[in-house]
Amino acid sequence: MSSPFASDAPRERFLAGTHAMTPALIGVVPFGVVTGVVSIAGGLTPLEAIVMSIVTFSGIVQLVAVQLHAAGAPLAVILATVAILSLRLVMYSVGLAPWLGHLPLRWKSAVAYRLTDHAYALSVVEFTHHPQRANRHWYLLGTGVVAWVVWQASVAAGVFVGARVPAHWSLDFAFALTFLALLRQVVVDRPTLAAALVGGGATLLTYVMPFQLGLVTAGLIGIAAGVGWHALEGRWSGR
Amino acid sequence: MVWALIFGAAAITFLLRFSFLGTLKADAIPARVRAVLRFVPPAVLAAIVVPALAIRDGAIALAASNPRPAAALVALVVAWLTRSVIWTIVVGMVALWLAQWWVA
Repeated sequence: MSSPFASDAPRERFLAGTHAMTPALIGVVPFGVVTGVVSIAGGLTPLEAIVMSIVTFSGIVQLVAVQLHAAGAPLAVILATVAILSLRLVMYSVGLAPWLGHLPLRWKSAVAYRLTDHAYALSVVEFTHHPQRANRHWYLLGTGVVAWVVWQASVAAGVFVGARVPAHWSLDFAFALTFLALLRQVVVDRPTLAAALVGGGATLLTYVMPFQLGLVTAGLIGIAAGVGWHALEGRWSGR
Repeated sequence: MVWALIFGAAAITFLLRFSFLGTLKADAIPARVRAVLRFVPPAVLAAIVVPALAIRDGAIALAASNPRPAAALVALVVAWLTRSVIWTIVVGMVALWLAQWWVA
């Protein structure tokens, strides 16, 4: 997509980032509302739900942590699950480091806090296509800030409106659907498909594990399946 | 307990985001580690989705009385063809409401 913001000035780079992020916001709003609804349904107070949204700024972490909490999982298991869920953010951190490694610490902290799946995907494409451009971090900040504002507003809407939504509307189902759509975007070849099928299938066995350890275990099994399939493909093609 | 959960989760999430950006050099990461990280999103997302659809009250629920797996299957087809979050949600919710109305 071409952008009307062509100059390297910080303000223009920031606006280019917000501009690039805008289409993705259509998916952010329902995801945020569902997260707010599920947070309250899972037993958090409105204050707890909103503080959690601000300090974590991660829909997946918020949703899963709340559900595990509601199911009575011990704190250590919830935090271990959060760590596994957030491992993909390490991958994004790796991807952006060559472009932003020179920045001062406060800049790195500011962009790291707002680093999301979408912001990463947009920024890497932009940086790769225009490697000579200055003020890259302003572009990333632009994607992050607009997503942050819309996310927090959507979660707050879910928190305050959610209690009035009748149960038979099954809004929690929208949560599963959001992940289904995200899953589609990360299954890009046969090894990633193997990771998804095995990781998802394994939950039908691991759900009996105590302390809600099933998700962490199934996730690790799925990752192993992806690595294994990738290695097998390499061997078959003689590499 | 809830506040420990909230700030614990926030600390972990921030540190993982900050990890390589903030401290280490990206070229110091072995290719082997990258190859493993690539499989984290598909494996983890699938491990979140499947129980949300197929497990209810601590037991596998794939009988006709649970309309969720069928509605999810419809949504899965839409997700695969359109890659759109919004269409997946819209079609999946309508499918679930129709199925609930049918079963009831």
